[in-house]
Amino acid sequence: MPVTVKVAPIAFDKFLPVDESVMHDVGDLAIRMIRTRTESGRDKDGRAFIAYTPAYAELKAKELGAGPVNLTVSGRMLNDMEVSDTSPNKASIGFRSSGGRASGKTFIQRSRSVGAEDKARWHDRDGAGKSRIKRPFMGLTDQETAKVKERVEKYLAEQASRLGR
Amino acid sequence: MSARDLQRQAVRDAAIQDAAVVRFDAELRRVYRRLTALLSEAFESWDADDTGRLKSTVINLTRVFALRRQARRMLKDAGFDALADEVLGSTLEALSATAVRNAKQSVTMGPKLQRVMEAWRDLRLADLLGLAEDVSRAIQRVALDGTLGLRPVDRLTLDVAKALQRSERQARTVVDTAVSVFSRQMEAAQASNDPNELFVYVGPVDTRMREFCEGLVGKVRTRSAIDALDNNQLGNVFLTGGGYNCRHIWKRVSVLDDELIAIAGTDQRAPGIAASVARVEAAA
Repeated sequence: MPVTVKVAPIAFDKFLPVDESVMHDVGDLAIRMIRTRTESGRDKDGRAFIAYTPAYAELKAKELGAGPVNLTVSGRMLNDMEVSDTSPNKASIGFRSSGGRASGKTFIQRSRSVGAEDKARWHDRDGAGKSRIKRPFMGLTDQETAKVKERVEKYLAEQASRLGR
Repeated sequence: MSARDLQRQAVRDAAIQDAAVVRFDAELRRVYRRLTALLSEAFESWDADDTGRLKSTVINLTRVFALRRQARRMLKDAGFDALADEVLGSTLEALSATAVRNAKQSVTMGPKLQRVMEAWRDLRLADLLGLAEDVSRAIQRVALDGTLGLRPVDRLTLDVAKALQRSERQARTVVDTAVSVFSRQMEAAQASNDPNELFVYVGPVDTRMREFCEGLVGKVRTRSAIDALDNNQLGNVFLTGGGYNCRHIWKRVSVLDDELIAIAGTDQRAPGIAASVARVEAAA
């Protein structure tokens, strides 16, 4: 089952000419917000992610250095997030890789050999690892949603102003 | 104009077109001969001397491949698809096989031969980047399979190790790099070709980052500025990031993203990333 997040509908002013191209940019902005928040260790509600198990935390710190719970080893899951669909009032975010199974000699190789969509599904819905711990990250906080709306309105006002000159 | 006049006109036009096709064909055959000669020279010179010639040979080959791509495009545009496949499809493979055979026939695995094999590896990685489209097809299939999870990475690695006659470890590097390049190609497909379009360099911030990536992560650059970068490993930084096994990618910057647009071309990093880089530097 694909993991997607629908960024909109966000209630923009009905007179604003929001189209698919703008919604693609909404999607790209949402991807950046999801990445920034996830890398800082917070979930889609703005709460800190549940800690890694001590064994995994120790392994990760040994291989990559100490850091927050950021769902990042090979980077493939967050790198492969993309705007998968748009309509005049909606942008969906999905993943461009899926499938595979963990293989390889190194910590990074094992992470990289699993597709992004699968990892996202484990973190977001099914739970990851033996304990099936969920760390939902796909989505926007209320604050982020408000910021997207503000940016779109500002951008369209600037465009309108340019056309009016 | 009468029907007879129209018929004459049509016959004249057809004759002109036929003559043009013959001229075009003759012209292209000259191009093939030149390409083949260039490829032969390039492969032969691998075994020519000990003083850095091999590296420049790979650069020459890159030029040859560019010529070859142009010729293929010309042919296809002119409706000669089958001819393009026949003439251009076989040349590189045949010459490559000769080069490997020659290398294997050398008496000892001395430094010269090692460099020949290194150059061969570089050429294969050039294939990986689409510089020689026919030879790269197999690798691109590997990348696609890896991206879509159609075959497990360990199986792909074994296939590549066998095809390239490399160790499993080296093949794994090729597979991982190919899959990452493929992902970046898909990212690139969503971008425009505007040299001023903005991208941000993103990916893991940890102690495994190489210096090149650490210097750029979180920074915003135009496409033309990215194209001017050199990672000292693989060409085309937009598609290869920091090189072999790189975990970073250039992501398109949304026109709505004021925070990133404000730091374009500067040494400032995207929100959150500066602190992560500082943490990693402190730990190091």
